[in-house]
Amino acid sequence: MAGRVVNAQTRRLGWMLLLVAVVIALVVATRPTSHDETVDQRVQRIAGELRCPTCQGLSVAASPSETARLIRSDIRRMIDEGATDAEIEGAYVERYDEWVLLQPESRGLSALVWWLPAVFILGGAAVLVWRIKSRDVVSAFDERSTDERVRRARDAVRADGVASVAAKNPDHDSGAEIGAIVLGSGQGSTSRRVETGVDDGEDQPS
Amino acid sequence: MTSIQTGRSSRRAWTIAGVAALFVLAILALMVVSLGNDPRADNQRLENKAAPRFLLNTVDGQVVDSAELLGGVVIVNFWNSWCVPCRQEHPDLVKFYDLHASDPDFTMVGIVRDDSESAVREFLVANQTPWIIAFDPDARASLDFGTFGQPETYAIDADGIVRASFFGPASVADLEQMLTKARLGEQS
Repeated sequence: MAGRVVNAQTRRLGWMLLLVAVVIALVVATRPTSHDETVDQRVQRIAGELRCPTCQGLSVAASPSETARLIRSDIRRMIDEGATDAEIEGAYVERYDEWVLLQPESRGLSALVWWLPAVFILGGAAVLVWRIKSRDVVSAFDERSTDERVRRARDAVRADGVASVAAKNPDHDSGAEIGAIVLGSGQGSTSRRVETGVDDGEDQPS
Repeated sequence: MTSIQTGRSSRRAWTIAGVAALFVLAILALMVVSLGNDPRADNQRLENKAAPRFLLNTVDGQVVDSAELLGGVVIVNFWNSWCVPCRQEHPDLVKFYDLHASDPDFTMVGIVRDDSESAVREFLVANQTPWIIAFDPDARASLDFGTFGQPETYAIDADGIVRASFFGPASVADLEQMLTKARLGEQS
């Protein structure tokens, strides 16, 4: 039973991983490339990667400000002069520092922006796997202990008979419980009550 | 619930709280780092670096080339006619210019940022502005200096190195301090 639960959980985890892989593949596959791009599209793309210096949280592409319009013209001029994307972005980094890049560079302290989410995702996955594994161990332990309880109950029935067990535990309906266990249910609260009543002896009247 | 279960739950709660606290700390650290990187909080970004070269048309039909100004100190002021702090700053600029107009090593250039030529000319008719005023129609100079707005003022030494900068309306005292730094050059 516990094995089936673990299998179902493993299968579900597998599906989740597959789904994540498909989403990543789709994002990568549908990512726009710089081939066959018009000058306007290129200006917009580069402007979209730059922060508008006179705005709050807007890219140069998104801002209607005069400064942003002038920067777009400046980008177009640089494109006309044959500058590469890296050269254009480099010119703006030189003027405004790396702050001007909306997508921070993956080095120095800025690298934290890239690495932290990955660390948290991997950490989360590790915790998930750990939780599933520890549940697996607990389930296996429960299974073993249930078998053990059934075996002990059987021994008790054989040794003393149902009546003597009932006499030992007048407050518990042990006979019926043990009968149920012997008949093969051995699950849930019944098995726990048998363990308390028969084996532990803590609740037994003195 | 047994004491073992209680212990486990409490340990789990502490683990979750610890992870959440780490996450919050990491986000805060990132915010502090990003704020520290905001050049708008640091107007000294260009200081001790070569001033960007500019070649602009002036209001009186001349051309001002920053390369030709090397050998003397240059005060560059980005401004425009509609900006209220620029208007507030204007009387101080006039006073400061009058104090140094006759200094042989002194030049002051006002570069119009983000304004129309007609509005600037109208302003100049109404307000005495004896220093060089140049237009920057495609914002090349404004962008090369990495301006965020106006007024912004830079003091450039004889070797073309920015020695002081000021964001916002500068007083005569601020401008004097900038000029001193530019005159001192490397010693400042």
